[in-house]
Amino acid sequence: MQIALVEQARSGSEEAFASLARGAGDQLLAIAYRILRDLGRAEDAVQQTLVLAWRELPSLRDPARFDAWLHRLLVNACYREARRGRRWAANVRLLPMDAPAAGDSLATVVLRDQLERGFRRLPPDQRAVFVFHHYLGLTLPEVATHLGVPLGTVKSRMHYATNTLRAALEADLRSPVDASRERLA
Amino acid sequence: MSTKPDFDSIAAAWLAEGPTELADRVLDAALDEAHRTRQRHPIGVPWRARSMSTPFRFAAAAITVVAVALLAVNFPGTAGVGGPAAPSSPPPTASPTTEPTATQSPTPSAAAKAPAATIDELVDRLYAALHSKDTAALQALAVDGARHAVYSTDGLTGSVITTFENASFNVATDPLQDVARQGDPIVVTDRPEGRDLVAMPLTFTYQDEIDTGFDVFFVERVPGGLLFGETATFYGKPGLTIDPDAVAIIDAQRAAWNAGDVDAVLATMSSDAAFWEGLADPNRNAYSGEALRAFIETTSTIKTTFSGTPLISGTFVAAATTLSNGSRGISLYEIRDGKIALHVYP
Repeated sequence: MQIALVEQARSGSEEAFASLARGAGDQLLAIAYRILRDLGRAEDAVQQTLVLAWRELPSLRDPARFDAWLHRLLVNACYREARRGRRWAANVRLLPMDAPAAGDSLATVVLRDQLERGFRRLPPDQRAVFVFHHYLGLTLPEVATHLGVPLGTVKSRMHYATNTLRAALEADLRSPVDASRERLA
Repeated sequence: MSTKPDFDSIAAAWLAEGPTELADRVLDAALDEAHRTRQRHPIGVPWRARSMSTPFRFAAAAITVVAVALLAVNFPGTAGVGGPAAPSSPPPTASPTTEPTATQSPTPSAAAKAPAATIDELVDRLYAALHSKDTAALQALAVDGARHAVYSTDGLTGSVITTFENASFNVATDPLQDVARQGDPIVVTDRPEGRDLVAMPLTFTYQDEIDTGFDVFFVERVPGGLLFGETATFYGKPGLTIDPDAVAIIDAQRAAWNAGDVDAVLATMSSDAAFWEGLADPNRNAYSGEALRAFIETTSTIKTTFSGTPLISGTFVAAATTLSNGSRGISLYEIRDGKIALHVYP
């Protein structure tokens, strides 16, 4: 059914595109948030992606590749949002993303904080690979297809991302990171 | 004996946390904007009629599945808020994010690249190529997929009334003629954002009128040297001269912003002034009205300093800028009747 919707939307059917957008919107938001770690920017990225998808849909040759194509648009939008965020965002100290849930130990909260800090040190392209693999559960070859980059590039980015996050988890808790110096690539 | 946590499990559990639902307002906004956006079609596809439909957000569950696809040729037009239509030009080439199709004509950006060694060389060659309308020379200096947006501002309010784009710097589709640089540009290098930034005062002829304004473009560092990337040209109503106090006006806005005095900032700006963060769609956020007030409020902790000598061209002023969060760039303003009508920070 999705292929038919894509073909309709490609021909200019706004109803078909609306249905596609509704079906994809939640996942796009989830991916964008996990890459950008900022809900507002993630929403902006998703909005940009959907508008761009509508505009460029006639150029999509194979409707069966709609999901991968859409993911690629989203990742590019996330890259743009990541670059834009560096201009006017005031430096703030990172706080844990969520309040401790009932039963969460201090160690769990600290773990989240360490992962968050480590993740924010990753450039957007490494974040995207990490999210597509660990959140969406795609294999590395599938990640390469979705991001439109060579498999070797994906493996390299995953290697560096994993090393950075492992190091963040093993960091000495007595040496806090200065969050204000963390940068995006 | 303790076991080391499994990294993959930790990562997956951490990533599982966080929002997973797109807010309706975001979806509605996207569909509204898409409704106002024309689809871009590959060149050479046969005509088919495009059915008009109700706005996206009202297209609820009542969709039925029918068979296959139609493609319609899309004519580019103005994306501005109104006013005279942009001149017609050949349909743009596909954006870099789309899949290539056999029916597309070869993109102009396929030419071999000849990066410049320095920004001075890049600027010299770029404006020589623009002036002589040498497409090959221009595309040899352009990043693949680089787009050029031209913004003409309204004579009273600074609102953009005409916008057109020249994909991949194909001068055959560029309506600007007799492009001539006017002196030296402002150049900002070593930016934390990674790309150098240039603001060049220039004149050109468009529809038999001589226009004055600025080119603002990013410089991309590639193997072998420098290429120019995303570019925007800004020009105002021909024949207008800028307020003699233009530099004092932008400095007053800067001082008020640094002081966190939102009302004083807005007092330096016209009632429908706009602030653009970024250069050209879609890589741009635009703020006006209450959104502008909110933007100023939330960024008032960031202090701005100017460096060097501001440049004036037509009704525009450009100033090299440093923000206290480390960002370095160029602020571009249009001044009308003693007020800032447009403020751009790429």
